[in-house]
Amino acid sequence: MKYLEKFREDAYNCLHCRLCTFTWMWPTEPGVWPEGSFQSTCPSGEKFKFEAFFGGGRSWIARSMLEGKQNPSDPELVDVLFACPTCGSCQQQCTLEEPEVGYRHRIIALIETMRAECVKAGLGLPGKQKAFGIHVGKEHNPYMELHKDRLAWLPSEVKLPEKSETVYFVGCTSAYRQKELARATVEVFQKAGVDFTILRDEWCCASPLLRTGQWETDWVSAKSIAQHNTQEAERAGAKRIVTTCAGCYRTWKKDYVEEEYKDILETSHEFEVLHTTELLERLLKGGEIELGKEVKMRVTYHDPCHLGRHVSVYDPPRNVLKIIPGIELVEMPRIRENAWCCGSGGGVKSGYPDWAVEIAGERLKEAEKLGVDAIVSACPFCWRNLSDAINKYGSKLKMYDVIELVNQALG
Amino acid sequence: MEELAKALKDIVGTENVSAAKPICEAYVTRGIMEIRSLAPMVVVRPKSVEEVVAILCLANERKVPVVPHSGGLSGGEATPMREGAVLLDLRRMNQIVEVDTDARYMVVEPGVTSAQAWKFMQEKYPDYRPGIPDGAPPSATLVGDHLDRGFHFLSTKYGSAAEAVLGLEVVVPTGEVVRTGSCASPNAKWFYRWMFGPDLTGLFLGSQGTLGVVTKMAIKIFPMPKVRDVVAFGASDWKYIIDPCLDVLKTEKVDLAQGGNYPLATCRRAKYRWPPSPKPDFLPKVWMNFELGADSKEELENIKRRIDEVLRNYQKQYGEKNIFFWKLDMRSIVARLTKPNRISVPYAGHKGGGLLFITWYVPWKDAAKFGEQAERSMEKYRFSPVIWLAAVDHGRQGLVMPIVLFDPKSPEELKEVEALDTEMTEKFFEMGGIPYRPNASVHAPMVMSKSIGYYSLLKRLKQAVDPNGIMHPGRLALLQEEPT
Repeated sequence: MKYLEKFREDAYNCLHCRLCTFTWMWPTEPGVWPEGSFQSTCPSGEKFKFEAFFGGGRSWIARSMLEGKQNPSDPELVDVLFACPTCGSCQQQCTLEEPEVGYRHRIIALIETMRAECVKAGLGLPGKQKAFGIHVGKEHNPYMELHKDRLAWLPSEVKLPEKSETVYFVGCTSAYRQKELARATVEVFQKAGVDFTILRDEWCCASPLLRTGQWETDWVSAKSIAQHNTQEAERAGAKRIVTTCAGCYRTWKKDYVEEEYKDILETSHEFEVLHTTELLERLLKGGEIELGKEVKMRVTYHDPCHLGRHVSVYDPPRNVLKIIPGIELVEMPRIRENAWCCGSGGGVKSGYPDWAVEIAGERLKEAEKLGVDAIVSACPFCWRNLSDAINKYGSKLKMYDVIELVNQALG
Repeated sequence: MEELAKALKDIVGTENVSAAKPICEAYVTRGIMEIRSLAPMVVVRPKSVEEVVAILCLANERKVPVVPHSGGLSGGEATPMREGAVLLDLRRMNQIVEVDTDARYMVVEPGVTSAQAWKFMQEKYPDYRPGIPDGAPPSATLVGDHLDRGFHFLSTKYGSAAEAVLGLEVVVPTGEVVRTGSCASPNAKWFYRWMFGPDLTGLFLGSQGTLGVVTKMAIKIFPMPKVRDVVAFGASDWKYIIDPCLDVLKTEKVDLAQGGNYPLATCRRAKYRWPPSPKPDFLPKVWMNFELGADSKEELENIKRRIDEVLRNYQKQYGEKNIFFWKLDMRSIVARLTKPNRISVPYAGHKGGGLLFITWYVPWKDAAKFGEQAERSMEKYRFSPVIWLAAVDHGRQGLVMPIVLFDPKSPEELKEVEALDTEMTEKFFEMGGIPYRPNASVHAPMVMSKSIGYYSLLKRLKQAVDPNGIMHPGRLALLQEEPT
């Protein structure tokens, strides 16, 4: 249990108090709890119900693994460990007092680490997870596409420099699926006069591998991918990496450099990592761009887990939306730290595709109650899954990424 | 086992039964009220009374142990003590069945949590509030807390949570559905705890799941005051805090009186169990705070004035350095008045999430002696002497709760926790205390072995209600593990 041993303290930090099972919002005034408080918060637990599917239960499974009571190749572990979007809400609810009392319970890391132990022990992965892992090893993307087509979305008239201090890391979802988001990002950067480039040999950021326990396997190595991307960025002269994808953002900002994955990825960098919404907020506040065209729409904002809870970026996307002329931003009850996950992360979209859309469907219901025209997010993966739910459930909501609305407002 | 699982699936549906090892292991909890805990053999999630009946009939026929588990917030207490048990996860039974604002009660199923009940009442009946446990996370269930004679945030005023129970619906191991209290009559509401004859509601309160499965419970709801505040006394020693507090409690105006010693506050930030953090200047050595509620500011001021008079009288006797008002900052006041709250949770941050509450009912007048004894025992075993105490029923009783913070990763430390628990139990029992939620390994065997008549009757009652001994074997020293 080499991987899991590192998180032994976290596994044993669970008191089993079940705070991880619902949202916590402080009262707005004495005795008055906001609508978003005490709501369900764990997609996995709400679906599968048994304690094993909540953060606390999984922590106690980690204990039993560490105590040798649980065989990591036991097929009964598959759903228990992999049917979870690792949205991090359990960890958020659990460690609310963390800064105050020094309490640490990294449940997401525990889950991902247990997954890695199981993969290492030969446990089968659900759905298409192994297939995409193999493909990442061969073609550097999880979408079964060819690496040579990675830049096919880029309009031929767009000429980018070989080197720039700002690198737009496109990510696989925008490169192969939500190409309109990649194009919108490039258009916005050009309209804003941002000097930037794109890596000529960008690979998957490795997030899908890290999230599904495919760290070092016979078919793919997350370490070699991370090292390749950081070397490519250095070659491009990067000082900052900008991503539109929340998953890529978390991976560059956290996984490539922080302690949790340091000994797995054996890489590091000193780039400033920005989400496009952070860059846009900076440009707007600095008066470097102006949004002149009205985008008349009543919208609500969905916090991507990898941008919100995982890295605490909550305000920039909201601030950008508020600046767009004509946009009226209305909040859902469960937002920010308490946001309900869209359901696509943590390998759920590939492992449990129907359930992923079901989770997104619950988010749509919450948005629909507000009577808004659209749900807006800041992640192509959320965009995809929420759009799938809109189609599946026949919702009248429109789906946008913040970058698309900014592009419209720039005219 | 496979045959049993299939039979259970026939009752509740495939998706609500699992014998998968990881799913069973996830219910294990070593802490809170009990550090011994085993994984069940199979977990079943019934939704209805009929399903509970069918499960118990099946288990009784096959003599399979059954452990009811509502929210699981009693920790190890709500998990099996014996191999091969069926764990009934009752969280699907989470309906608020009825609220009666004239007789002032609500009827709930076992899965209804404090948070759910509180929010429901806030939205639908804002003039009333249920007695939810204080400090315990809002995931604690009302049935669990009331059934286990728990402490709620109005226990100082209205007594232990069990005192607020007005009736039960229980499925007994032989499959009969029994209602206790007034609702035993098919024509009556849940307005009164007794039917004719003895208190059969009380038979199940404190029974720790050894007599049946509670499927509905009627509990009192209480008026929501319009204004609230908190005042606190600090003292230089245990001996100065109890009598002034008792005089305040005798006014019968206090919603909640609770306090502790300074390690109760400092342990939240401490990293190791020993040595305890030194006492910061801003904290008194011991303190009690009084949560107050009233319908007007004038009424609230009158209560505070009476408390003030009590304090000043004692200051003349003890000196102002020994007993004094402790002015709380606004943040502390808001934290105390926020219900539900999550105050107890950060104690787990002490070191490694090991937490055991060893709580005793004591005469309030003697609470200081118990607190001092607990400190001595904990210091002897080199555990940080963290003590919480609270007054129940206007100080007729008190709860003294040593909180043992330990490293659950260490088997040696677990042994030390049990050795400490054994020593404290011997002392506290000699001093006249009664265990709050007796654990199976130390409290129940020791106390039952010295309460012969009571224990004998309890065993006979158990035999009558649960002839095959299937309900939560191992708890309360009943049937399968008799103390000598």
